Amino acid sequence: MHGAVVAGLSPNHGSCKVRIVQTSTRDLLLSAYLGLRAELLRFLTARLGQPSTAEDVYQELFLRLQVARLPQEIANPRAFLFKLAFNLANDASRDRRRRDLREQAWADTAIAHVGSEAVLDQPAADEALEAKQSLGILSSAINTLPPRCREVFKLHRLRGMTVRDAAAVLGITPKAVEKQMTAALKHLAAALDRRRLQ
Amino acid sequence: MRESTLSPSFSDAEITAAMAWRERMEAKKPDAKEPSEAEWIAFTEWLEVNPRHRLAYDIVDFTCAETEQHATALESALHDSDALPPQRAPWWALPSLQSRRFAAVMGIVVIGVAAAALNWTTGLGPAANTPAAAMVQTTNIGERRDVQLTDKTSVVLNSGTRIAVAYDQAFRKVTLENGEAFFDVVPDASRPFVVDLGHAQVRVVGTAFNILRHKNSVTVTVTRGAVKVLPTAGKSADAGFGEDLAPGDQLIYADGQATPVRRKVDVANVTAWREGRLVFESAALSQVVEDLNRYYPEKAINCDGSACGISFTGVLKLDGQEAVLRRLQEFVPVVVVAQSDGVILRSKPLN
Repeated sequence: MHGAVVAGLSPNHGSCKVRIVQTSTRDLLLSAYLGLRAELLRFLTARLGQPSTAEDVYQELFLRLQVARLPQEIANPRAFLFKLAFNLANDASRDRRRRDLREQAWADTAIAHVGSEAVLDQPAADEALEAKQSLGILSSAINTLPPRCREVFKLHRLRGMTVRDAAAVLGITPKAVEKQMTAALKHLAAALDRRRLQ
Repeated sequence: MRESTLSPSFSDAEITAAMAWRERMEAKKPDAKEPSEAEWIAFTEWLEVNPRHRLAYDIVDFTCAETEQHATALESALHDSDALPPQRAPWWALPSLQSRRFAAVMGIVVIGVAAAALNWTTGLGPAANTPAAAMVQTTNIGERRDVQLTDKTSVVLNSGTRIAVAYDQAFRKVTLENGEAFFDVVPDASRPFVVDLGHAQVRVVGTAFNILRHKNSVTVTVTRGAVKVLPTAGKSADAGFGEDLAPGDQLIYADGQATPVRRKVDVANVTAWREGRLVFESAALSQVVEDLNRYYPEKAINCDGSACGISFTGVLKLDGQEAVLRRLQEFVPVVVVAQSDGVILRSKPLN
């Protein structure tokens, strides 16, 4: 629980008394939530593209606030709500992309094309499906990166080395590491995006 | 649901910016502070500036999230994997410093109390190391464009102009890097509108004004409301420092000049460029030529000796360069002589 401490002099006894006013973190967040509606919707629309999706996530945030285990103290409820909205928006957007990939992969595997006709084939084999989802796409995209670029990606992204450490290991400048990371990400992002939109 | 259009292919700059924003807003590195409210707003503005930003962010986020999730599997699938154990846990896999349970429930990292408080009290938006929150707008030579900023302030960019817009909680800041722009600012007393001009800045609440930044001088002309022009260096905001301008006032600041020149002008003439016209009143031909050169990339116009001093009064419609020069010849006694690197205006020989 989060408490505001109010100190005051008691008129009768002249002694100093301390009264604790209980305000729960949840109440604090809920009132901030209502006050921040316009800003949160604007942010969510900017992040997700669709005002209706933004509205859904804003509602979802309310539900989460009701049931979530909250920390005892939140220094900045407004920034905190933005972070919660950001995480929910990320989940929504990633889920949508994963679903798209899965559906596309299933359609590719289960339906064979005979001429211009799509014919239902046998149920998709699990490996075939997987290869067409993110892990498979990413793994083959990483293996087609130029060697230096792949090394940088492995150290920095997969092993979590800092830019500086990765630069030291490979004997290149931190700037070069960043450049390679951009190139790698561009390549992988394109692979995932192309796949989804086929 | 699938995007209705194919995603564009992104430039390195767009990918880099999206990566930088993601790293900043996720704040998962061990020493990262949680973003302040001002940073969330700056991030919103960056996303809004251009629909490509959202698309770039979206695919970068997905790509990073998927590689983070499958990091081990991806590494073992590398063709040349040398199977060294990781030296330390990746920063995005480190436990949050506070309640892990909560993080698991909400999928978030809890805000550090000290860090958030610090960000909050400064209130001035992203720190210097946050990704470029500025949105840049440019026009080519000969191009003119209307831009609406997020607060509905409108800016008309004249030929060859570059502005950078960086709004935060405390200020609406625009840098006019080069060229000319007309600003019609929506009033917001709690967030002054500031135009940074390098060695001077213009500060307003809600008003309309024109600024020309060309070569080493800055000319500010006010059409509505009140404007304060402050020198950037030194005791900028001190009382009694800087120039207060009212409608019809024009202030010309030139580099290396101790005091600015102040005068009354016809504001309609100064802002006629917005309708594609230039209005001159007893202007030296050298000035006319300098103004015209801001609009035409094709040939540099120069004037020669005595022709430079000829006085010109009139309106020039800014259509093609040749047409403008032809019309100019009808008003002033000059001939246009073609040269290898442009054209030169010479005094017409007297017969």
